[in-house]
Amino acid sequence: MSGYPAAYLGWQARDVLRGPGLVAAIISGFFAVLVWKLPGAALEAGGATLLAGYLQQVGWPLVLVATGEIVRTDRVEGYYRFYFARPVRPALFYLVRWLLGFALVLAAVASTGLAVLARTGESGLDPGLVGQLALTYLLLGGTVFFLSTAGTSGPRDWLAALLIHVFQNTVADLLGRGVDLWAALRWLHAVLPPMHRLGAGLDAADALHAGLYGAGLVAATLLLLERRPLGGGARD
Amino acid sequence: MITLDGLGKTYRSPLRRRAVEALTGVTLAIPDGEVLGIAGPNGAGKSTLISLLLGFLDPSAGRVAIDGRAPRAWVRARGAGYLPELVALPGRWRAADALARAAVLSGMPGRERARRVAAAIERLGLEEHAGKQVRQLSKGTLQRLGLAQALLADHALLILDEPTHGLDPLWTQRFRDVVREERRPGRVIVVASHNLDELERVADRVAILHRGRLERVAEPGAGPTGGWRRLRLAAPHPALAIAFPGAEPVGSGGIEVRVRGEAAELSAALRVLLEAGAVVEAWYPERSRLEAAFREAVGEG
Repeated sequence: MSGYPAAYLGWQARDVLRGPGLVAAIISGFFAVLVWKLPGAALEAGGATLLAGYLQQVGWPLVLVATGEIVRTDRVEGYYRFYFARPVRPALFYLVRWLLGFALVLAAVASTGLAVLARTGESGLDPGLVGQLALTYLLLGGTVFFLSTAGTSGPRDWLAALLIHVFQNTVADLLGRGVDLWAALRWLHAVLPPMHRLGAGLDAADALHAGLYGAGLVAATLLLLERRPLGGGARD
Repeated sequence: MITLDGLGKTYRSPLRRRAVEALTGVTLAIPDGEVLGIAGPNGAGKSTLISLLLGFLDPSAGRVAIDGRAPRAWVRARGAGYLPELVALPGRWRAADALARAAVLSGMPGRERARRVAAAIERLGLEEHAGKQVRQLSKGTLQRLGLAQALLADHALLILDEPTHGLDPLWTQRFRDVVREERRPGRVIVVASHNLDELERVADRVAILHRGRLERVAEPGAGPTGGWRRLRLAAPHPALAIAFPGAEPVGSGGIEVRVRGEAAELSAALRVLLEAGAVVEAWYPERSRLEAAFREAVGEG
């Protein structure tokens, strides 16, 4: 891959494991213990239901942990000067890092699947669940990635994405109950990343909307990294 | 060859309400093989110029090109050795790992990496710190690590921003040797520093920036250099030629000369002069040509 030395993949994977990997391990470990301690009656629903419930609760925080501060920290702390005075393309460098985040989320969910398998006899890790996880990563992780790249001022990227997540789900819930909201709120709800469409009952239209939106965000992020300089000021 | 043509950079606040002009109309050509110094007071635009040279910033006006290409494209294709003014590396990295990462990112073949890293550690005296985390390093050691990563690969462009910042006098002296060793045909070395003495010793030319403008380009090699002192008498005295036989007269009248020598030797000569009854009006270190140019450029001449 031109512009990204493949030999650096090991170093980036190490950084992911030592940073967000630790948090993901704690979350997965906690859930594994919970599964282990569940009473027998709670296991009757089966592994797939258990794991789906886990993803509903823990999937999006895992994505935030895996993608948070990818670009922002390097720009704020000035580490980008170390990386990009060398023959390295920022778009490729950060795309690899972002994809490693997905590998981390998959590994965390798979390890929880193992705990579920040990307890219920089925892992619950079916293609549909992995697809939903990928879609969540694409949209929510893509939002964090974009926010991380777009600016260094304002709230942290993962916090801003979390606020959007909460806003979208709250507004969707209110609209679902027939509450009449301000036009500005409805407009914001329509243009912000459709995170409310990732919940239970996800259909093909939801998946297409979320997928296209997420892919657009990732593409916009890569374009920004390719075209826009990383420095914000002389000593930034 | 680096060319700057009417280069300007203006920082604007997000809503464009405030604008700070950091560089204005800088035009300069830096030929291959040259060591260019950049001097200027704080806020003169030195770091902005360096960020523009590396493509970390886009110019607001004018143009900068390295071998005819935009800096970002050039650096992404070939890479540069770069020591930033503030060495910023993640605190949990170990010093040797930072160099190993730098070697990988610089595109070095696998077999060469370990050799280059070991050589850089030895060259910058980092042996006992190689296993330490960056956060455990003293300021001077961190600066040496920054230098080591900048010098690791043999890039055709080497940019050192305040390279002796935080270094002790011994390493400051060694730095001069390092620049001499790094100099080669086809390579451009840019050294930005507050330290005029340092620039005088390492640079072929020094670009003096003041308030974002290139005020002048001085050639430290030409004309008086450090080490000279001036002696001015109240009136001409025949003992002057006896005490300081190698003195160079300054102006006419025979009351002021330039002298150079070891401190003990100069003290003995002065004693001879005073014992002969001469009245010394002034005795001071001569300002270097660069220092004089700098003071003139920033309005303190």
